Amino acid sequence: MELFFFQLLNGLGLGVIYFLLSVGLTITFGLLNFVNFAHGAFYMVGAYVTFVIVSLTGNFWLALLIAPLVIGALAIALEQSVVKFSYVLEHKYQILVTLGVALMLQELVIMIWGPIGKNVSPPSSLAGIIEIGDFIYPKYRAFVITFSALIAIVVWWGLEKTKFGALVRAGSENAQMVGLLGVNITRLFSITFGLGGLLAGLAGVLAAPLRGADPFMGVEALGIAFIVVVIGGMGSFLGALVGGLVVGVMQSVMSSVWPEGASLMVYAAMAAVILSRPRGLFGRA
Amino acid sequence: MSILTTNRLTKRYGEFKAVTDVNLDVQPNTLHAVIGPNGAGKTTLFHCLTGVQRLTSGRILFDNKEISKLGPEKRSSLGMSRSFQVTSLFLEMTVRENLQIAALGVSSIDGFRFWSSSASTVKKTAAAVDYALETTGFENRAETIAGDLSHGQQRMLEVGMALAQQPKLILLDEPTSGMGVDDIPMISNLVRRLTKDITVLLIEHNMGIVLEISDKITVMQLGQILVEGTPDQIKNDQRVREAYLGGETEDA
Amino acid sequence: MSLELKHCPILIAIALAAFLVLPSISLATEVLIFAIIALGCSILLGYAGLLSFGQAIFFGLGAYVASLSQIHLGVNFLVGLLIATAAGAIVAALVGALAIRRQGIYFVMLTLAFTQLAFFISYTLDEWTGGDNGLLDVPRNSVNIFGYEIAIDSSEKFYAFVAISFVLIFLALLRITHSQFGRTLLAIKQNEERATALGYSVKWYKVLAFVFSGSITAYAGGMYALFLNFAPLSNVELIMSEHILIMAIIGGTGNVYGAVLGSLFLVVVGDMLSAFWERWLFMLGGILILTVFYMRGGLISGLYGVFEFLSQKLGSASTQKES
Ligand SMILES: Nc1ncnc2c1ncn2[C@@H]1O[C@H](COP(=O)(O)OP(=O)(O)OP(=O)(O)O)[C@@H](O)[C@H]1O
Ligand SMILES: [Mg+2]
Repeated sequence: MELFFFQLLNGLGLGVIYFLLSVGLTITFGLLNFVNFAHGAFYMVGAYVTFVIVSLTGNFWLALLIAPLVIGALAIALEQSVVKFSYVLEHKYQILVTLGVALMLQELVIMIWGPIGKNVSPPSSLAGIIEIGDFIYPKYRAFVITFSALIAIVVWWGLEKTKFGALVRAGSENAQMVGLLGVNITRLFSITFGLGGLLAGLAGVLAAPLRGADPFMGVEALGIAFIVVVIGGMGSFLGALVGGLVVGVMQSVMSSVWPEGASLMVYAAMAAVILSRPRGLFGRA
Repeated sequence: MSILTTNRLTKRYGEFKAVTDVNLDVQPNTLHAVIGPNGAGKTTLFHCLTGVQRLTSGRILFDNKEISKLGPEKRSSLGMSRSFQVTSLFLEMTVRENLQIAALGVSSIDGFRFWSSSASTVKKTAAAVDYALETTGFENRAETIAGDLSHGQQRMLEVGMALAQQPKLILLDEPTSGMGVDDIPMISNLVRRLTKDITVLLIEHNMGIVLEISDKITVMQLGQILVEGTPDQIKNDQRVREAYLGGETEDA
Repeated sequence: MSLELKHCPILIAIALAAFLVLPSISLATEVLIFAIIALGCSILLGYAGLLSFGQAIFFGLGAYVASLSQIHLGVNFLVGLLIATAAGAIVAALVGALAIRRQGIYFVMLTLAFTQLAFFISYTLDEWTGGDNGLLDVPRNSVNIFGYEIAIDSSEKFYAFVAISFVLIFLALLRITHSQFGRTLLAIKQNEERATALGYSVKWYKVLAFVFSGSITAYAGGMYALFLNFAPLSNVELIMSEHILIMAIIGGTGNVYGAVLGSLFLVVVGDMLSAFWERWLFMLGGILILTVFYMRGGLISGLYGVFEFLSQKLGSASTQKES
């Protein structure tokens, strides 16, 4: 029972990271109708930037502050230089362009840091465990859950309560309409793309102390993000949250029952959802 | 003996009723026009008749066969072809290739022939393709890429595609839409000539044409049939004047 | 018949040239095998318009089935390859029939999910597939016909076998792409709605395209395993699907010879570059982007462009001389 609870918590921790990873992908899809195969690379580079900052300064908090901004800037730079030219293309070509971008980022990372992964240690203030009665849990993981939950609330607030969020939601319903309202739609697109990248980068920062940084985590993350987005429903914020938690918990619990089957299960779930309910749990029709 | 009848044909998009309880009766070798203001449900009716959209309820009898459950591919092999309101061609192919593909669509196997050259497969379509080329006046432009045609020519090819299938019943959805005034008579003459051999169901906004060439006119409004009758009856019907002609003047 | 007469010499010339020009025979073998694999991808992408991340499934399946048939069934290599091809056809029909139930991005996602499933299934079934280590020591059992023994025990013989397969498969696919079926696929790619309205059962055309694609990819996968004497797990990885796609696209998917160029480019340039620049894939990513933006038709269309340019130049030069 205790073990199950432990795994459940781990799953939640994983799930909130998955949420951060996926929310940008789902929103850019909703708003831009754009499929970004380079999204996983933001997560990976986020982990590497964390590695650099932590090994230079020894300060994880600095990384938590700076790395997401760096990735957000990277995302906007990519949007401006490559991605925006592919909005007019068919999905097929968008996929190929962003696949090229992902490949370049991955190889660039290997050129700089080598193919072997790097370890990132959690901040010393979060090393060790917390005890609640008999129950013990690593401090850092507890931090990840709390912090990501806060970020999720901020993102939700941003989407629901700000003018920017209203535009994003309206834009994902009907981009032309928003354009007619006199809003600079291309600006809106690139800011959204940047914020999506920033959140994926943040997920990378939080994941780094848990699993290190390695060049292939981007591909893995992209797969996970697709599963989350598909299960939750493309374009849906709530879907990304619920989908992230479902996938995180499913993986974590399965990994103690049938480790090899964990990934098999989630991909089977993804295929089943697309075939039976392509809108996912919360997607628009 | 009717060639096409529908019984309480109904199509809903979600809650919205696009077509409600339409009973249509089309006689062979006639030109039957469907008119009505924008959004009346004319195109939706065609989509249901040709199987592009599934009906919500009702029945369709074509050539004495119940076809309401058949997919679009089955219906064209039974002898029902259509043109689209929004031009829909194979833009990277030549006029001739477009017509050949159309002509072979009625056979359920010819398109699958993967071991003999397409040149030998399309031989059997020569008559149908020539007929379509001739009727639509494309003899000299058969090798032009469809995407390079002018808008008016593309509209013409749109009709040609349906003709190349040598159907018993042809459904034309606003063949003149977007055409220049000079080209319109060409289409109306063509449509009139067609009834010698086949049956034509025509959606058309140009009242002049419709009143001039139709045998029977069905007026639709808000998804339902408002009136039905000969051009003379329709011309003098008060309800049509109010609903349709009134709407028309507002539009203009 | 004229089709075969025209292309057979070209294909034989390509196979001979690969043998004579390329620095090693194993490189030449690899080029021809991957040309077949790229061709399998072109059928889907260039003709049916289907961007699939599923090619690794058929490639890996072919490799495993051919290898297992050599190890456990002891059948000769030809029979082994035929079993692999049949398995590829069947699985491609299943994968295709499921995947085409969705369109656009959902189709892509389904093929991606299926590849990941195939990978994790292969990983889990390690008693059969060797899991992470792959299937080692795959033999090439010789063929026995009326007492004659045909073995492909040297790299030259193996190359000859691959070259014959290459020529035959390309000829077959040329026939298919020049058939009415090939043209119908192009029509469906250009305007699916119209094709349906005209009476084509679009679904079955796509499934059949999958079957052709999957079966030749599995055949090539089988040859690749026999070539390496090894069937690694990486055959079924998503990255393999990506590489196959990139190969086909860079070469050009609208023409069977594009597949040769794509394979040549990836295998040979990759081999040369990786000797002194291990991260040459970086460049590949860039080339992929440039191809999408500036040369949709791939290298083959560039090559045709150059030919046309030259022939125009030569043509005008010769007419000038005459006048
Ligand atoms: N796929 C759809 N989903 C929801 N509503 C639809 C759909 N297609 C059409 N409609 C609606 O159904 C109604 C009838 O449309 P339809 O295209 O049949 O009209 P129409 O008579 O052909 O008009 P027009 O003369 O403008 O071509 C319209 O209000 C339209 O907005
Ligand atoms: Mg209409």
